[in-house]
Amino acid sequence: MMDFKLDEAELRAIAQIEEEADCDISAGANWSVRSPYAQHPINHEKLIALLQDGLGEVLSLEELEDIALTVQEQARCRVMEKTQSTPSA
Amino acid sequence: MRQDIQIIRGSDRQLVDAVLLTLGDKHLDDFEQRWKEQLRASSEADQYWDWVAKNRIYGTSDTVEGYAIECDAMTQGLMLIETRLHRSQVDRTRRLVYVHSLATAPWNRPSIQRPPRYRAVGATLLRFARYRSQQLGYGGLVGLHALPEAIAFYEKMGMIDGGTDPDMEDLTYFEWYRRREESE
Repeated sequence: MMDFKLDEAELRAIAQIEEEADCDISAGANWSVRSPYAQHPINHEKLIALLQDGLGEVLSLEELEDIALTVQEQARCRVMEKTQSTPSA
Repeated sequence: MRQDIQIIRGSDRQLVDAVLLTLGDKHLDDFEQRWKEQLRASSEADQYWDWVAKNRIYGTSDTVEGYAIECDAMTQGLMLIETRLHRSQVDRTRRLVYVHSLATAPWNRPSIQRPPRYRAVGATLLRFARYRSQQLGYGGLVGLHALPEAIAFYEKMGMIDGGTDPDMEDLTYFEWYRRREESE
């Protein structure tokens, strides 16, 4: 596999795009302890749908909700644990 | 991984030598010591991002790779990519490289410093994500969620606008998509 290389023309072209856009280029979700995303790490409706797919014939919706809430809480705690050592985040 | 590259100095538009390499402690230290204070004092959408925490949460995963660009012995840009779990939103049968996080140093942003100290840092990292996608056999497909201030850049880079994503803080999803025959 060849090395990653941009020749001068390509480099100047992408720099031109940056200049024309005249904006930041940042991408990604705000995974910090202040983020609502970190507080609710998993989409609840999607999680319930997934559980219904696998367990819907065995467990009631109420039971699946209990499981989903437990998963959400455990996930949230794990995220908080990992971010707490950087309190300014 | 360590690769010699070039970026463009903002003051005189001259090409200067830089290096693209695997994310390491030096880059996280630069973030803590040199980036963080300037970002916190700004109104940038990523002003509260914490790359040390991001790296601690994701950097240990087998599917996540971290990269940095250094120039003048200073970290100029940072990127985390996910390489196995994400699929194209255009064609769900195809995998892509997902840019988990991408940012340039505060002095490389026109919103903070004019002219920016260096240009083409973020775009080079993005092109490297596409290169990794090609290396991995994904045909150059790359996906990401852009911060609101960055939408114009990704549009101009030719990425497809997939609309806002309610699962990702309503950020706008962008994808570099090419049909299989174009990727080969």
